[in-house]
Amino acid sequence: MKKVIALAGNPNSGKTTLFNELTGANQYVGNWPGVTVDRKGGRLTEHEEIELQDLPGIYSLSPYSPEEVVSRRYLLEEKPDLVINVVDATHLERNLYLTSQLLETGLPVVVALNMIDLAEADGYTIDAEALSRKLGCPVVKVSALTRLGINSLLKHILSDSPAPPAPLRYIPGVEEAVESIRTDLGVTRFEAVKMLEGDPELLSTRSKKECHRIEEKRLHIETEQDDDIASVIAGGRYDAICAFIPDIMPRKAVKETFSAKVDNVLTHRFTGPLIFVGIMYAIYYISINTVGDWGTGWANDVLFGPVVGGWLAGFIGNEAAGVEALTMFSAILAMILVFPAMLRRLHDLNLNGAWLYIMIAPFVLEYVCPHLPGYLHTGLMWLLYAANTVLLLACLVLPGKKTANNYGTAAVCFSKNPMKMTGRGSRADFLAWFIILSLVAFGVALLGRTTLNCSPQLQSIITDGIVAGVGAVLGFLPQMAVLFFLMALLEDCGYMARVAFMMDRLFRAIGLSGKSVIPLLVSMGCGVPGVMATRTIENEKDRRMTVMLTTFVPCGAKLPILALIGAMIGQTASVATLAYFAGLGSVILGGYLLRKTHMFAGNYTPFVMELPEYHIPRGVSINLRAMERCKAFVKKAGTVIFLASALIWTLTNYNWSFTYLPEQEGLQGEPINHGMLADTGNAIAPIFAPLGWGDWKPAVATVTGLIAKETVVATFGQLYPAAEQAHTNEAQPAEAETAENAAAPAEDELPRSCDLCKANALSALTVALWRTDADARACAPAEPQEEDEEEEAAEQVADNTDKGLLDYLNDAVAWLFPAPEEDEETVGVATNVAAAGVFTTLSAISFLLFNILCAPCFAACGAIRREMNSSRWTLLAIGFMCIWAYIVAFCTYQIGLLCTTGVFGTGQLVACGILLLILVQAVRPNPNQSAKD
Amino acid sequence: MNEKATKTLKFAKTGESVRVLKVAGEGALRQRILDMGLTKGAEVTVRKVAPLGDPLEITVRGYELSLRKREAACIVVE
Repeated sequence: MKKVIALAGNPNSGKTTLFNELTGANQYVGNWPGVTVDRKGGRLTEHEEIELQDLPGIYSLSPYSPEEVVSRRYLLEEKPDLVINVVDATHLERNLYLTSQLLETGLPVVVALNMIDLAEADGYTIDAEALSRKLGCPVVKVSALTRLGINSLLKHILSDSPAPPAPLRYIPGVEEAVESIRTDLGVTRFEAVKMLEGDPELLSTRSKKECHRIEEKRLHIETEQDDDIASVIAGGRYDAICAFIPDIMPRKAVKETFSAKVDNVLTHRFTGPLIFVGIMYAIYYISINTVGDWGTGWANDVLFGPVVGGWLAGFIGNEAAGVEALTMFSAILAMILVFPAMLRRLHDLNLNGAWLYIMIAPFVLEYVCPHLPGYLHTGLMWLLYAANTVLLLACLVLPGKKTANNYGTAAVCFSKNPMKMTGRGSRADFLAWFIILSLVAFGVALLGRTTLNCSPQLQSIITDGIVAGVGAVLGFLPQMAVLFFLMALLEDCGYMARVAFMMDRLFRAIGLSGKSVIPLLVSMGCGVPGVMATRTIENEKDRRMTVMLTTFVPCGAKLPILALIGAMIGQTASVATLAYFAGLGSVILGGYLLRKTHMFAGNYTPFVMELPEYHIPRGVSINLRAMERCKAFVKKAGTVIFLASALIWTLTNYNWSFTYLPEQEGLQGEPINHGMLADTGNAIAPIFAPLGWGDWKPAVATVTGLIAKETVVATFGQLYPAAEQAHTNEAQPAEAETAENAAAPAEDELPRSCDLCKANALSALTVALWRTDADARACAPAEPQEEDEEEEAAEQVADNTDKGLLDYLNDAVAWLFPAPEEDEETVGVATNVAAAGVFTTLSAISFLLFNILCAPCFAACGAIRREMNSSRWTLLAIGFMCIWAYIVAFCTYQIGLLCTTGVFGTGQLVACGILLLILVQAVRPNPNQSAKD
Repeated sequence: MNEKATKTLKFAKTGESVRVLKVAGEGALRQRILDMGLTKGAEVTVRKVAPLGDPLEITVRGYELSLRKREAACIVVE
């Protein structure tokens, strides 16, 4: 028998855990039409004919939030055969409010009293029988986490014709009105109540006369109760619930709970913010600097280097891969393929955290052990090996949860996708997939000995184009996985809601709410999870605005650009400070300006948020949340980046007549100088001329930066080979090692851009930056321009006070954020670029600002598209970022020119005009706001 | 009703327990406050104020809720 069942309940009621237990791996995720709310559906593990629809977590069916709208529409229009109402037994009163509304819809309801084990541990005893009598519907005590009561819930799902529910009664006056509307118009009780409340959607289907009659009844109640109808109805529901709560739950714990004690410290006026900074720094340190960095280093240097590279060379090239590389390739592939099966099996054994150990152990062996003394090293190594063996044996031998009855038969098991991470896996399931997938991995690895010897073009597009591009992004996966895991941990234990609570005041000043804190913080690591983290923001306007602003924050991939520009002008720390302040400043100012546009203006949005109780995080939900985000990240890298890398590769290596350039003879310099990309760069270069870098090479680097921001550095490396230095810049002294010298080339070399500015690298704008460095100061007198020396002296006096402050800021930023590493390669590229003489200090800063603020990499654009769920909004967001970046870079460059050269031309005029416009927009009152606000 | 004489939740002290008399305001915001259990007669305890002085944390109907002072000003209490 086919059946559709809806799962409804409050947020934090454990609805998703129950959904996962019931459906196992039979899930699919989509979107509700028109809104960015996830739509999750699935089929029961053992009864495939029964479909389960997971509704979003809601507190009520009043159609205000998008979640409430889709839930209400689904229940009223699609009429599921049964509604399972998941109720958090520890917060019965508020949870039953939704129940009271569900009962009114007339749909058969089964109440699943979830977290009953926690409630009983807290000292509540709940009489399910009594509750069932009061609500007129079956009540089942369950614990989704321990699978308690799942089978008896299943019985209710499978049984026919559940009893029709008996809705709660209102006070007599309201009850009469509701009943008379219901019988007069022949509608359900839910619709009658909503009409009495004056629901415009439902009333519009009725005639004027009927509306008038309802209006009369409403006015009568309102005068009788001296309160308006919404209050009377909501109050009536709560009063009805409160009336029977003492009967079903005799004892109520009043002692100050553990949660409250923890909360007193974590949100304390003084300790709260300190702990927050500490936790954030710890997360950042663990995910970006240590564990994540090992993973990323390993992925870049080992995995995509000799292992995958060697295998590919053996597969499509002509050089058979070595046995060692293939063994490693096979082992890694097998581990990736078996991982989901392992996760399912570990879930069944209730060893959910173990996967993290599996992930981290190899890196500990690789990166920590060598630093330990000999005996500790050996000991730790054997310990890890022993733990691995024990874990593997446990997966193969232990029977798992006997109550977990959702393995299915062998046939069912094999019809499923082995890569699904939800659900539980039996011994047989694990063993079978372990063997099959290991063999598959072995077979794939063997391809590394085939030496197909494909054409060099094909080899190049695969290795240099796709593997290099996708590898660069996937290299971030270890960092992301650790970050996602820690974030999910904080979300699950209830800390994130407190962060929003503490930070709300700060972010309201710029028109966002406290919930925007998390996306902005995550974006410091990577914009993709940052954009995905906006999902927790309920208000649609706030969410869209946060998506538009969050990628302004300099992410990890932008650090190499910082290092490059820093090396070019010789001031890494100051450049990093500048970049972080530009990013945060853009968030603040951009948010402030956007809030005053017609798109985002509007009435005040409320911030009424539940602060869920703290609890020990649950392994399963953290795993799934972290895994889901990792999967989304990989999917993006796999599709968007794949296509984009291939496209950029083609543009680089072919000219317009589609000749493959690396095989063309008689070309000057690298092939990239002659490809379609170079021509495209030339075509778009004039756009960037007002920013001070109207050459095609930086333009091309900006475009390639869309794949991943760190590609900018690699592109510069290709475009400015060391050899070029000699013949384009002969006037340069031989010891042109540092960028300072490049800033002062001979005047006759610069026909089109501002000679003065170029010569005067220590321009007024950066005077303060330079003075912090003794070496730079030593170089300064070498500058020949007399007129500027006066200016400089004047600036020096003016900026004296800033000196200490800047030092201090640099130190603070260096402490808080990882300083971009100046490896030799970057410095080499910087030297070459500087020697080519395209950039002045000012235009280098303008280039940096543009690249940090403009459209994010393709992966982040994909994430934006996904979260906005509308092409129009995506284009708007990306357009806004590009225009904003352009304005910032333009104004910085032009005003900088004005300060250094004193020239006031069209560019300066336009810059001043733009600044004035921004000022006007910032000062003008908020449009669309009602007079009361 | 005399607006000056009424006390709102905004001015309740930390640790104070009060009873809701009326929820002012309109539309979605008001409905949301009502849905979250702040109805006439509900007992509310102000737990604490956020470090920067704005959102309040209150206990209502056995759970913790955060709301801004602006919203708290809509809730008339005893």
